[in-house]
Parts: sequence; C-alpha cells; structure tokens
Amino acid sequence: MSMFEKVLVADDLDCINQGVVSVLNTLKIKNVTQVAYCDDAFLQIEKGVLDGNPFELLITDLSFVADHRKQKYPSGEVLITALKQKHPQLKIIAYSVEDKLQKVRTVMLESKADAYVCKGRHGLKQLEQAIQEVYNGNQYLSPQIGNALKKKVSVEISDYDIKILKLLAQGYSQREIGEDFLTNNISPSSISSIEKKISKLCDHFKAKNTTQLVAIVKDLGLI
Amino acid sequence: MNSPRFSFLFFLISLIFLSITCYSQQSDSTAYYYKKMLHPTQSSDIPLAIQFYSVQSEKHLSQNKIYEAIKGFRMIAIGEYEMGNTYDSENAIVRALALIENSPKTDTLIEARKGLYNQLGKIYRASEQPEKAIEAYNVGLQFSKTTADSITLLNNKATIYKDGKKYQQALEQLELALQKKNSKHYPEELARVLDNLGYVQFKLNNPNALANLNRSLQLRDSLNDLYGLYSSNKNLALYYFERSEKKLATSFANKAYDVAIKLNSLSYLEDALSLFTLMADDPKIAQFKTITDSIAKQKQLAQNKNAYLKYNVEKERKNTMVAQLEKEEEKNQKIIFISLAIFLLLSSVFVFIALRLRHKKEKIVQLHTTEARISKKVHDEVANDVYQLMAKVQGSVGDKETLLDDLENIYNKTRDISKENSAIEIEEDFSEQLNDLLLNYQNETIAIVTRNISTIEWETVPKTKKTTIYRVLQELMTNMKKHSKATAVALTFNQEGKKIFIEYTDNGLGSTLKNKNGLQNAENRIQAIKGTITFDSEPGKGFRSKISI
Repeated sequence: MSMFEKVLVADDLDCINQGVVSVLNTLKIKNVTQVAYCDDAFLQIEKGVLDGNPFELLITDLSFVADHRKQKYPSGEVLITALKQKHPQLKIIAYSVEDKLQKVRTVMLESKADAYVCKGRHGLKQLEQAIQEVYNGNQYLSPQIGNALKKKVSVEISDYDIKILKLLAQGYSQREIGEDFLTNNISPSSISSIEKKISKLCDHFKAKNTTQLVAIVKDLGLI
Repeated sequence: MNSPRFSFLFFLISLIFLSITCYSQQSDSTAYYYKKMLHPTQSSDIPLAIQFYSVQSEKHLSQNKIYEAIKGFRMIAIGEYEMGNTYDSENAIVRALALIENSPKTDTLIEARKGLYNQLGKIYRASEQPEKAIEAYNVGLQFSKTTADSITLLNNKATIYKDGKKYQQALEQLELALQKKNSKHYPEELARVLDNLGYVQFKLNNPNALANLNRSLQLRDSLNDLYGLYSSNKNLALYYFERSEKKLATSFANKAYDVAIKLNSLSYLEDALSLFTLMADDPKIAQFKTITDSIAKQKQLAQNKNAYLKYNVEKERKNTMVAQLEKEEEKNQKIIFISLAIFLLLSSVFVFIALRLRHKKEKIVQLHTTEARISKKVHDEVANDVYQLMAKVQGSVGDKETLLDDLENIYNKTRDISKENSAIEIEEDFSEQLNDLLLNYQNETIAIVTRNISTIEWETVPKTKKTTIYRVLQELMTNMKKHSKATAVALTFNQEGKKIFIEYTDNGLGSTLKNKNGLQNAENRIQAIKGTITFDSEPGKGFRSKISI
C-alpha cells in the first residue's frame, strides 16, 4: 500500500505535534518535518519545491499564538490560501479545535483545504482516516462537522410539514391527507410525496411511527 | 356700604371731566397754532407752530392716526414754505403723500391730496422750478372734483406760465378756468382769474385786457379783498405805464401803495415801491430795479442749490445713522446668536463627556461581571472536575478508557466555555448562521427544528440584538445538551413590528427551576438590551422559554 512520503506538520504545540507524528509513524511515513510557525511552513514548502523534492502533504493548525516573531502568515487559513494558490498539487489537512461550521466552510471552500479534522478525543483516529482519504484524492471532514458542506441542511420545518402533522394528529390517513390537499390546492398532493415527507419527519425526530411523531411534535407545541 | 360707591362714582366723574379738559386743551392749542401758522404776528410764531406740529405729527403717527398726521405735515409744509425752507417744506409734503399712498382709505383723502399738490406747486414756483410746478398742478387737477378747486389750480398753473413769459399758454389755462361752471359762485377766485387774464391779455396786446383788469378791480373792491386789490392796482399801473399814460400809471401805483400800507406788510410795501423805481424818469433808477431783481433771482437760485446740497447731506447723515443703528442691532443679535451657539456647544460637549464617562463606567462594570462569570465557570466546571479526576487517579488506577472519558468530558467543558465567550461575527445571512449553530447540537439522539426562522426580517435587526439572540440560543442549547436529555427541540420565531419573539421548547427531563444553572447569564444578556425572557419547566414535562426582544 503506497502512502505520502514527505509530510510537513505545522503546530505551535509540541505535544500535539508528537501525537500527529505518532499517527504518521503508524502509516509508515518516515520523512516528517515539524515547524511551529506558518512562515516557516511556507518557506519549507518553497524549499522542497526548489530542491526538486517537494512536500506532498501539510497538516496544519489554524490558530497560532502570536509572539515576538512578526508573521507574514498569522493564521493557518491565510497559509492554506497562499499555498493552495501557489502549489495546487500540495494536499493540506486543517487540524483544529475549532468546530464552528462557518469556520469549516471558509477553510474548505475559500482556502480550499482538502480535509478538516477536529482535535478531540478521537482526533488522531480521524486524522489517520483523513490522511488515507486525501491520499486517495477525496475530501474528509470529522463526523461532528460532517454537515458543514451539505448546503441544504436546514432544521427549518415548513408550513407544508405542519399541515401534514396537523392532519395526522386529527387521525387522517395518508390518502385522506392527499385528498384534503387536492381540494385545498396544496401541492404536492400525491400520496407518494406525502408518504415521503412523513418518513423524512419520522427520521428527523427518530420516531418509530406516525403516532410517536405526532406525540413528539405535540409535546414541542408545534401543532 | 354707601360711602365707597359714592367715592367711586366721584372718581369716575372726575376722570371723565379730566379727560374732557385734556381734550379741549389739546384742540385749543391746535387751533392756537393753526392761527399762528396761517396768520403770524411775530417772527417766532411760525417756528413755534412748526415745532408744535412736528411733535403732534410724530405722536399721531405712533398712534396710527393717519389723517391727523397728514394734516400735521401739511401745516409743517406751509410753515416751512413761509420761512423759505423749500426743501423741508417739500419733504413734509412728500411724507404726507406717502402716508396717503399707503393708507387703505386713499379715496377719502382726495381733498388732502389736492391741497398737498397745490402746496407743492407753490414751493416749486418759489424755488424757480417752473416745470416741476406745472407737473404738481397737473397731478393736483386730477384730484379736483369741485369747480373752486380746479379754478385755483388752473389759475396757479397760469401764474407759472406768466412768470416764464409764456403768455399764450397762460391764456389757455385762464380761459379754461373761466369756462368752469358756477365760477360766479366763487367771486374771489373769479377776481383772481380775471386779474391774471387781463395782465396776460395786456402782454399779448389783446384789446380785452383793460376790461378784464377793471372787472377784477370792481369785484375786489366790492369784496374788500385787500390782497386782491393790491394786485389789481399794480397790474393796472403796469398796463398804463406800458401805454405811456404816466398819469394814470402813477395814480394806480399810488393806490397800490396805499393798499400795501393798509396791509401792514413789508413785502407788499417793497413791491409797491419797486413800481415807482420801474416808472422813474431817470433810467439809472429803473436800472437799479432790474439789477436788484436779477440779484434776488441769482440769490434764490444759489440758495436753492445750497438748500438742495444741505438737504441731501442731512438726508445722507440720517441714512448713515439709521444704517449704523441697524448695524449695531445686527451686531447685538450676532453676539446673542454666537453666545447661544457657544452655550449649546459647551452644554452638548458637557453632556457628551458625561455620557461617555457613564458609558465607560458601565462598560467597566460589565467587563468585571464577565470576568467574574468566566472565573466562576472555570472554577465550578473545570477545576472541580480536574480535582475529582486527580482524587480518582490517586485512589485507584482505573482503566485507560474511563480515564480518557473523564478527560474528554473536561476538555469539552473548557471548549464550551471558550465558545460561549469567543467573539462572534454576525454574518449577512443570519438565519443560516443560526441554523449552523443549531446544527452543532443536532446529533444521533437530538432532533432540532425551527419554525418561521426565515420570516424574520433579519437585515433590519440591529447587530446587538442578533449577537444577543445568538448567545442566548447558544446558552439554551448548551444547557439542554448538558442537563435535559431531550430528544427533540423546537424553536419558533415570530416578528411583530420591531419586536422579535422566540419560543424554545424541548421534551427533556425538565427541572424545578430552583437552580437556573447557566441560564442566569442568558437572563442578564436579554435584560441588557431591554428584552424579557421567561422560563417554564416542571420535572418530566420538558423545558420552555419565551424570549421577546
């Protein structure tokens, strides 16, 4: 099984670097360089390219504590953006405590990182998976932020859903709901779309059947 | 009871009496000065009358008694004219005419207008300005409704032409005057017209001259009009002198002299004596008469010029004074405005500083409470847990997995504290930002739904409100995740005008609400922007919260 051969790790905390290095060791990656500043990371990448022996993967933190050294690249995001513009073939994994979805979105979509892994109890395990996926040319996101790039994810419940739930609560069958919608000009009124909607709602609320679904939304005061 | 009423009545009566005497005194003095002005007996009479009318007119002006003021100015004009101050006289008339123009009752003041223009004509005649005099008489004629008025004005107009030796034009005017109906009802005016007509005809060699002169003489004789008689006798003397009938000429000159003596007027006497110099045999005496006349004329013209200049200088001085007064007033106003502006500026600066200081103080207080809150949280949640873990590890070395679980627990707590206090950036699409926040809390066991989140007009909601909503929802969700064991959460949004209502409901364990745990902070946040938040929960019946901001 082939793997990345030359990897750069950028993090200002040594212990984290060590964790990362141990993961790389289990993946049998020997050529690992560690830096504690974004500017150093940039220079290392440049040097590798000039030497004809470029780095294949960068694993970088996003937040670096500012100190006496003035940095051209103050954060991982800026570094990723610059590197991806200059060396698009370089793979980059962001490894951060930050789990805000907006942050993940900017790093993935604007800075164009290949993977986003959240530091945490299972962080190192996820990092291992991420390295595998990125090597195979895929994107990777830690499960807790897995929703970030799914644009359409919304927790909003629509008037249409509420109408269905209300009729269900009144004891209507799915066929009767369809008829009601047809007479009241509510679309879609086909039984299949109503059925689909109900199963989606059951899924969302983890309800075993429509009875439990109605009970849950009633408890929440939605109907 | 009776005595005060009596005394009040007495007071009233005396008041009325007093005002009547005052009034009669007033009208008495007006009559007195009226007489002095028109028939002066002493050299001081006219100046005193002018002073009286000046004071009266200004008083009437201030009381808005326009008609009285006009009368006053007319009297002043007559007085100044008699004194030879033609410019002051003209000025008084101009003021009176201006009053008439601006008066709403212009039509009822026709009589006054006619009189004023007649006086104006006389002034221009005296100051040797015949064109202006003719113009004044023409205007006066427009306002003449009665025969007597027009006869006087036409006669005066003819006199101007006569002065300028334009006898033909004078004749036309006089014939017009004679054609007026009812002229016989005004014998004095008729006599004047006939006298002038005779003189003009004599100058034009008209054979009717003598007849008219004689008719005038007879009329005046019967009226015993001394001033008229003087004029008739003088004109007859001149007529006969011209025709070289010396005897008759001398006889009429003597008659004129007698009348002048009767009139007791120096100017008439002078005029009468000048007739004799004119008719004297010695050409040198006659030459004396022509020279004195031309000198007098030169003097008058020089005086005109001088008076004109003096008058203009005076007018200029008055204008300057008025302008200076206005300037002074403007300056005062400016000073008032500037001081007002400075006062406003100073007070607003003061208020601004005071507000800033207060704001600063509030901010410091806020900062301290925030610090205290975070410090308490670190102590209660992190330090306690770490201490417990230390105790546990000291007692018995458990397996690695439980140790890791405990550590993860502490790690998550520190991250929650960090998240709750890190700066948030409100994004353009706030409903999506809220959606993202809520998605963080949704997992395999917890289902979250929002209702009507997109119907709120987020773009018009101020940033502070949005930040508060974000934080409070974050705290509610963290609280839910920590304590409630809920499986479903609903957030319903509503907007009424500028107010936003948010209802939070979960199906968790609920609580007795004795200890609001992390919710005290949410309450503080809502209160800070003057909103309200209520909590409602019972064990086993979930948790509800209503927010309105």
